[in-house]
Parts: sequence; structure tokens; C-alpha cells
Amino acid sequence: MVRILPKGKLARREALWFYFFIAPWIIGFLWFTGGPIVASFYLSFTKYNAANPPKWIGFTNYVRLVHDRIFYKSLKVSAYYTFLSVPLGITASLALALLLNQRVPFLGVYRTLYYLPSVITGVAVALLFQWLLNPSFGIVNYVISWLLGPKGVIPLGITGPKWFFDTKWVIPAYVLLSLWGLGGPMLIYLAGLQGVPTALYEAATIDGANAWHRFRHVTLPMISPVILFTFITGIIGSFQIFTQAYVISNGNGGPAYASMFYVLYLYLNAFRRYRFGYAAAQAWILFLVILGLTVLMLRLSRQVVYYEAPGEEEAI
Amino acid sequence: MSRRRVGLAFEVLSVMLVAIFLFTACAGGAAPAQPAAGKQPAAEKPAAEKPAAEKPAAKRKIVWMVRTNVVENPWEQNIVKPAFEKENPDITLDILIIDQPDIAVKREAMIAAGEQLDVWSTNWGGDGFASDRYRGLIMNLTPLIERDNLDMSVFIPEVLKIYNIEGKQWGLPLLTTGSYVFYNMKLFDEAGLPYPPTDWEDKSWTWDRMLDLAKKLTKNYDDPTKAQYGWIENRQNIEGPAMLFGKFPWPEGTYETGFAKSINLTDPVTIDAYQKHHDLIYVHKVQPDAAASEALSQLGGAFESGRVAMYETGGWGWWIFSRIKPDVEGGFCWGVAPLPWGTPDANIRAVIYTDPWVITRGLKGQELEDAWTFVKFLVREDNARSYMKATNTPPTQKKLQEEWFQQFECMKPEQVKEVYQGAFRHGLESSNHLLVRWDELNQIWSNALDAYFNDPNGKASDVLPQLEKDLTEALQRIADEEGYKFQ
Repeated sequence: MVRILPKGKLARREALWFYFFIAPWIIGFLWFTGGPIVASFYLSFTKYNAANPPKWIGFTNYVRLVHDRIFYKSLKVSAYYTFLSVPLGITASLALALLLNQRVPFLGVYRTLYYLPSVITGVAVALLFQWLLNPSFGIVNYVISWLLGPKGVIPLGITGPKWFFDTKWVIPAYVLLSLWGLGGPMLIYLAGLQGVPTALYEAATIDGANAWHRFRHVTLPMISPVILFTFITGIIGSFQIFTQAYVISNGNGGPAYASMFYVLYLYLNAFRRYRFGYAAAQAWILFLVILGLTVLMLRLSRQVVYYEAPGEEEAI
Repeated sequence: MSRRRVGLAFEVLSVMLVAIFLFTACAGGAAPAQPAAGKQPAAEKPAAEKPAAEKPAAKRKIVWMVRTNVVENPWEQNIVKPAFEKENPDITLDILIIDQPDIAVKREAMIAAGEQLDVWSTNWGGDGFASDRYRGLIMNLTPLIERDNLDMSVFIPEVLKIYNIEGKQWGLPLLTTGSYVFYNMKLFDEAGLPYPPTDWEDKSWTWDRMLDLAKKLTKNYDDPTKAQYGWIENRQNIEGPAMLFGKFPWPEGTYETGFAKSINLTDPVTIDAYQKHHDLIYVHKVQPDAAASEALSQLGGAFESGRVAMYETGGWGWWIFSRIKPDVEGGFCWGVAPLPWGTPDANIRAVIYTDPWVITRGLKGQELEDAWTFVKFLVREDNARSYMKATNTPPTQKKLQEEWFQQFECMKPEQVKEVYQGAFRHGLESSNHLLVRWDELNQIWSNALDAYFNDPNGKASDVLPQLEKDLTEALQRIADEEGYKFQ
């Protein structure tokens, strides 16, 4: 039997105060998060269109999903995006953090400037990139044409892709957009880097290690738990991309479903096609996919992630 | 009981009380402030709880859902609300303004949750009238019309008929329009070219004639920053491009039932029609590609930019372009022409768009009476006129249309009448109003057709067979999911 209140007057009193202060959060979680989770599990076995009560249909939604071509397409699109954006995001934000960890004048200004874009997210960034990457009027293609176009500095005849209008380039375009939010992970890496004891670097230098060796054999192992954390949260986040895709593709996931991200398809099924049961089944499959990937990452990480203190692994 | 136990009991009790308080607060927040749809309104309850002299009976309320719109919203808030509340002092009109893409979801969620929603319009955002009727969200107005002997002869009969299914009137139309070619007179004048006709029967106004004009009016095509385009079209659903060439892809009876077993996109004429539209961009180079069109739209509107000679779109151009005037900086005179004849048999080639006011199904008693009072108020001649004047939208009442024809400074009223009314003799109501789950179908064809029109090497003969297959599959699944059985 689970003991809610510990023995001893002081411990019990502390526990009661703990429950007192945590109660709003627990109630909120049970009411606003736990309730919908349980409801969505039930709905995934029903046919429900909001206008009529849910009707139990067993595993039909899951069976239909197995035969749904767009469901597979959306999984592939999200996986492709994750495959590109997560490693690129980690590499770029780590590189930025390394630069901003140097002792240079106006460091605070640089840190603020590089973090600043992360403050603006969602619709505003989507609209901004829609303009930046417009094939005809966007500044990105303008620069490409100026540099590499038929009359460019280096006349290679390259005028830039059609980005969001091209099935091959639409995901790379979303990956570029995702780099706008580098500030968040950059800050985490910066904190991680500052936690690396300087004694280790001094010892490595005395042993003759150059900058690359120090990075490879001191920095990377010491911040590997941070990298694992950003890797896992990055995968979870990239599988849940929605706002940008909804705004830029006008809710269609086009062209030719090339930007039909998993959560966009889920949203469309739920709120544009009123297939709430079907969408709930999708949500549970997404949950299982993310859970599976997270467990896999944690297992694989045992070989490569270094924990300075025993027990840190459990905390991740 | 020892002091320790008393203290412990007190602490546990405190936690429980806080928990109960929070639960109650949550429940209180979720409860509707006003009586839910179908329930007895507060004003009708017996005044037993408090004497009337102490507290006057609460005002009744109507919830009117409208779309976000810069011209409609001021009319709703500053004209309709004060006027209606003055005439009906015991009713408060609550205006719920929702962005158009979210409006269908919002109203369905409100109705499902039992929140009060009385009067709204189908067709705004996502699925339209057919879906709302099939799902049982809207009320048959015929008994109310007959009871009050409402004069329906004021409406244009063809327009009224659109929302009359099996003898039941489901909505009263507030605006109606066809689809047209809006053209920039200034660019025609500069090029020394004659304007297109206003007569839908004019057989000289062919696709080839339009293309010839578009070529002459296109300049600097390869430089989007300086380009002037001869033609841009705003695709009118899946059927629009085919209808221009005399083919209607939906099976007979689709618009009556709201369901189709299949769609025909592999007819050689339909394939040729879609290829001809594609050629406008990549072969004839008179129309910008999607990227340039989007950029022009975001810069204040493609047609409004003054760099597009002919713009084929739905009749919302009548009111959207009404702000373009020759005496305003950057403005110009614009005219309106019929859609060109793709083939000589393309008699029915315009897509018609009509929006009705509807009442939520299930309203009863006083709430229903109030909602009906408000709908009658909205379609009353003076209010329909104020809507027409405030928004410049084409009215649905015969008398008002004659007034509406007068207000275009660059076209004569008889020309406006000829071109406007011609669309109704040569058109059919849009599939987005008359097909169940149109929004889903639209996403399917948009995905395929957007990719096709973005691909310079795209071939209609490659794209349309697969699209036909995908749509047919979706149509049958939709019928199955909605429980519809084909005859």
C-alpha cells in the first residue's frame, strides 16, 4: 500500500503543507490534462463528430489509419523534418553557445542579440519566412541570384529554389525556419558549458591537448547529458510542429502533401473534418511513437552519455 | 481526541476545502452564463424568487455569430445592434465575431457544448450549407415563414431556391453573386484595346480572344518586380476550370443530395481544360506563378496593385474592389466581364456564391421567437439596404438590386445589370455550399492542383487520373462515415 503521509509529526506536517501548496497544480493537471487524456483514449475507439454523441466502434479508427495513405505520408514528412532539423539545430545552437562562451567584449550584448529571435515565435515567424523565402520577391532568393544568378557575381545560373511551393524544397524551408528558435537550446548549452570545471581544461592543456582535443575529450563528454536532453526534447518538438505548417500551407499541407506534418493532419481530421475519434487514435499513435523514440534514445545514450555523478542518468 | 489529532484533522480539512473550492471554481467557470440552446430562457421563468419590483426581469439575449470583416463588422456593431435593440428593448444582441477559417469549427463546438448560438450564416469557413443541414445544425424555416406569412416574393426566386431543399426553406439569403472577369480599364486604354463585353451570350468573347488580349497586356513577365500580367485566375473549386469548357465533373443530383459516388476528371475535354489553364503560366506566360501571385496578394492585392489587366474571381470582387477609384492615388477605373467561352457549348460556366442567414436547430419557445424576429429584421428591406450600402455586397432582393446597379462609377447601371445577372443564367451554385464535407475534398484537390500548377512540366493527363481516384475514394468514405446510402 502506498503511504501518502509519512510517520513522525514534523514529516507529516511538512507533507501536508506540500500537498496544500501542490493541490492547485494537481487538481489542474487532473482536470485539464488528465481528463482530456482519458477522454481522448476513449474517443479513439468511437465515431464522434461533435454534432452527435460518440458511438463505440472498437478498433475501427486504428484499422482505418493503417490503410490511410496520408497518415503514412504525414509520418514520413514529420520524420524527414525531424531527421534534418534536430541534428542541424543541435549543431548550430551548440556552435553558437561555444562562441558565446568566449571571453570577449560586449558578451552580454551578443548573447542577448542571439537569443532575441526566440522571443518571437509562431505565426509572426511563419509570415516572416513566407516573405523571406518567397521565390519571386524574397530576400533569400534575391541574394542567391545576386551571387550565383545568370548575371550574378559568380554567374552559375542559379536563381534559388521555390521553397514552400516546391515539393522537394518545402521541408528544407521549414528546417531553415526552425533555426530561428536556436536561442532556447543555445541558452541551455551555455549553462552546460559554464558548468564544466576549468580544472579539466587546465589539466588537458598541461597534457598537450589542443582546442579540438579539449572540445572532443572534455567539453563534449561533460555536456553530453545536456545534448541528450535537447536531442530528446528536439525530437518531441519537431514531431509536434503545427503552427508554421498551418499558416504557410493555408492548412492544406501542400503542395502534394509535402508539408502535411503529423499534427497538422491530426488537427485537420479533428477540427476541419469532425473526425474526432480518428484524430484521437492518431494522437495516441503519436504518443506511442514519441515514447518509443524517447526510450530508444535513452537506451542508446548509455554508451555515449557521461554522467559525472552516479544517479544523474535517472534524473534525465 | 488529542491536540495532535485535532491539528492533523484541521490540516487535512483545509486541504480538502481548498480542493473543493477549486473544483467549484472550475465548474462555475464552465457553466454557461445564459440558458443553453433549447432550454427555457431566464425571462420566462416564474418571477417567484424575487418580486419584479425589486429586480426587473433579466433581458433576453440573442447570440449572432459573424465573420471578421472590416466592412461588415462596423455595420453589425454600429448599425444593426443599436437599431435592433431599440426596436426590441427587452433583447440584447450579442455579436460574436470569429475569424472566417475558424468559424465552422467554433459554431459546431458551441452547438455541441450547448452554448447559446442563435443566428449565423453557413458557408463561412470550411464546410458549408450542405454539411450543416445534413448534420442537423440548422432549422427548417418554412413553418415560421408560413405562420407569419412572410413575403418571399421580394427575393430573387433563383436565389431563394438554392436553400430550398425538398420544399423546406433552410435559410434566407443575404448576398449572392456569380464569378466574373474584373478588368483594369486603364491598362486596356493604355494598350489601345477594346474592353471585353458585358453580355454573357456574346459568342465573340472566347478563351482564345481572352488569351490574345492577355498576351497583348502582359509586359516584363520575367521580372516580377516590374511585370504587368494579362491574366490571373482565382480557381473556382474543382469544377470551375472544367465548366469554362462545358464540362461539369460532378454526377447528376450531387448538389441536391450533397453526396457523390465519384467525380469525372478524366474526360478529354476536362484534361484539356486544365492543361490550357496551366499553359497560361508556363507556355503563354500571361499569368504569374503561384509565388508571384501570393506576393502580389500580400502586397495589398493582385488586382489592386494595378499590374493585372484581367482578374478572374468570385463575385466578392464587386465589393473588395469597390475601394479602387480613379480619383484615389494608385486607383483606376475597373470593369466587369463575363467568363469567356472555353467551348461553344459552355453555357453554364459561372460558379455562384450565395450566403443565407440561418437559425440553429433545436431552439424553442422564446429563444426561437427572438432568433426569428432577428432574422426577419435582417432581411427587412431597410436593413438589407443598409447592409448593401455599408458593404457594397450584391443584395438578394429584386428591388434592392436595381439600386445596387447604380453605384459603380466606371460602368453604366445597365452594363452592371447585364453582366451581373448574366452569371445567374450561366451558372451553378458553388460546390463548397452544396457538398457535404467539402472542406476535406478541397484539401485533396488543392494538394494535387497546387503542385500541378507549381510544376512547369506538369501534365494534366498525369495529375487528373490520380486525383479522380483519390477524390472518388474520399467521396465514398465520406458518404460511409456520414451514414449516407446512395440510391
